[in-house]
This record gives sequence, structure tokens and C-alpha cells, in this order.
Amino acid sequence: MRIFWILLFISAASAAAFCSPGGVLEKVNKIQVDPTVVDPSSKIDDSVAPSLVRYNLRAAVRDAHMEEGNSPIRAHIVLDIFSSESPVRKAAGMGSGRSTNTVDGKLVIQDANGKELASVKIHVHGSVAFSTSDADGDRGVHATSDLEQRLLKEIEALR
Amino acid sequence: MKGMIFAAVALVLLSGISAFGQAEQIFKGKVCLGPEGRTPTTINGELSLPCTVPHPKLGARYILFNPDTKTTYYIEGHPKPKSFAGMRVVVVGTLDTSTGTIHIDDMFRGLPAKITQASSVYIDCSACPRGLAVAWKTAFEEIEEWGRFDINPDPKKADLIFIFAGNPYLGDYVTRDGPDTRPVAIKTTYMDVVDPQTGQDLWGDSRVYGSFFVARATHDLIKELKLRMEEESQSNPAAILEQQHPRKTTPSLGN
Repeated sequence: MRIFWILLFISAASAAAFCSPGGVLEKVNKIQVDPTVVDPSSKIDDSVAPSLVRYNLRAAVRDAHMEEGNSPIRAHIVLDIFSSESPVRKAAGMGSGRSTNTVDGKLVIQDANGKELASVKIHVHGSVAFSTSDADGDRGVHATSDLEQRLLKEIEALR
Repeated sequence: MKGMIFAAVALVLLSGISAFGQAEQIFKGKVCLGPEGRTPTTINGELSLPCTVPHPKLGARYILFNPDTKTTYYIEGHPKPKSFAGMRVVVVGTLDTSTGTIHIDDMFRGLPAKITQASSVYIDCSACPRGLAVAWKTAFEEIEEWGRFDINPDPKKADLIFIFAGNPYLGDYVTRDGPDTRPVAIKTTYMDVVDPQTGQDLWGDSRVYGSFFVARATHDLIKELKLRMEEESQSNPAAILEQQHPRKTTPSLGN
């Protein structure tokens, strides 16, 4: 009898999980990508970082098969930290083309009134530029970055 | 004495008028082999003349044909028009109205309207192994600073594709089946501006800076395109003549 109740509980829980409402981006086909928000207290060592981070978000939206443009659902990144490699590390990797950055921030989804629908912490230590890696075997494939891949994963999770 | 002063003043005024009549102007059009006055034909909705003739007659001269105004002028001087045959060019020169001849002071390959009217670009560095990988980030920084184009992450929605590579572009952006597998020796950094619909190479240039100076090469290539676009929109001939840069008078695609 106890086993019956356990099985019943498991099936009810899994059914509830299966039928639970989707994320904030469920049924959203179009999204507006707003400029990156940079707080004065943010630690950013690259002037192009806000644009670069926004580009990564736009690319992730595209790879999630969503349209980018005017939409009541809006997304942006709040950038707290953007740091590049130290000059010593850069010199050590010279010629390899490998470039590593640390990005700390939040992916924020808002509605048309600016009400926050979701906020996801982002921490990436990897590439932000869209070149192929230093491995010759990767040449010619769709170029991507580690930050874009992380943002894509979060967007998929919100659907 | 009064008469002499009057004559001198008249001479000065006349020479001024003459100089004004032969002032430098900017002319745009296509370089074709004469004779002028031929009837242009319409191909794909665009007026054109047969510009390259396999066996030109003795004494045939090059002309500048403007399809918009349907005007033709003889052109002569340096650089030689022959090397620009069939190309859209910008000519800075003086027009001799009595002979209908433009005396060239400067001439360079014009940019297609697809470039000058574009508002968005996609940066393609998918064949950028090793040291060439820095080209993407450098291009992004330069284009952001320029502020002329929106950098779109979707190549299908961008007006232009900026391709950076270590090998010359083969014109196969649209038709290419699979990745570019050519070996890359990073000696030369190539930049090509490609039409995403047709894959046509609209503009291209290169820098032989080696693998340690790819960022510098990318910076220079974008700066070169920026200069060319500024020249294209320039209406002051003197401003064009002032600008000196390596590829200005070279008609080739650079590949």
C-alpha cells in the first residue's frame, strides 16, 4: 500500500512538472534588445564592452530562433564586471588568437511597462568575440562566443 | 595711362573668369572606350555602354559615361584611364568645354551604391584561425567607433558582409558548400565587402602585416574603407586631392 502511495506521489509530481506553466519567454516570438545598462560602480576595462555584450545578446536571441525588433517584451544586460586578460597573459597567448574575458552581470527581461519579468545572473569566463577558435578544425563553422552560448542557454530556459 | 589701367583690370578679370571656367570639378561615371555619343543599352534596368572593346580602332579614346545624366566626356591624363576600363570611378579634373574633355587630376575606383547606401553590416571571421582571430574584435571596435553601420548578428538581415580572412575571397559566399578549408598562412589580412544576396565582392583590400599585426591590418583596412566612403560623398574637389592613401589610385580589387 505504501509503495502505491509513493508511486502515486511520483506520478502526480511529474505530471505537475510537465503541465506547469512555461517561462516568461514562452510563446514570445519577438523581443527587443535594449542597450546594456552600466552602473557607475561597474568595473569595466573595455570601452566597447557594453556594445559587445549587447551584440552577444542579439546573437543569442537570433540563435534561439526569435525575431529581434520592436516588441513589448524587452531584454537587456546589466553589466557589473567586464575584464580582459592581463597584458602578461595576452603576451603569453600572442599568435594563438585566444582571448578570454570575465563577464559578470544580469540578463533582465521586462514587459512594455518596464516591469521586471525575470532576472538571471550571468557569469562567464571565456570568449566574447565571434571568431573561430585557434583550432584549425573549427574553421568555417558558425562562429560563436562563450558569452553568447551562455545567454542562449538562459533564453532557452526562460521559454 | 587711364586706358592702360583699365586694360590691366580687364585682363585680370578675364583671366579670373577663364580660371573659374576651368575650375576643378568632381565627375562620376564609368570608364569606357570611345567613341562618345554611343547609345547606351539597358541591362537589368541599368543603363550601360560596352566599355571594353577587344580590338579597339586606332585613335580610340576613353570616355567617362554617367548613366544618371546620360553624359559622356573624353578623359585624359594620369592615372591612365585604360586601367579603369569598365569600372565606376570618381574623377577630379578640369573640363574643357570646347572639346568635351576632362583633364584628370585624380581618379579612383568609385564605391557601389550598395556600399554607400548600406546601414548595417555583419562581420564574418569564420575562417580566422590562430592570430587572425583578433580581426573580429578589432573590426567590431572600429565599426562601433565609426558609428556609420549597425553591426547585425544576422548575416541575412545585414546590408553588407565584411569578411576578414587570410586568403583571397573567391566570390563564393552564397554558393559555398561547407567551410573554407584552404590552409591559412597568416601573412596577409584580407577584407572584402560582400553583397549578402549575391555574394558579389563590392570592395576589397588587403594588408601584408604578418600574423602579429592582424589588429593593425584590420584597423587600417576599415580606415581605408571609411576614407573611400568619405571621398565618395565629398563635393569639394580640393578635399579629395588632399587625401593621400595607398590604394586611392589603384583600380584592382586588391585580391
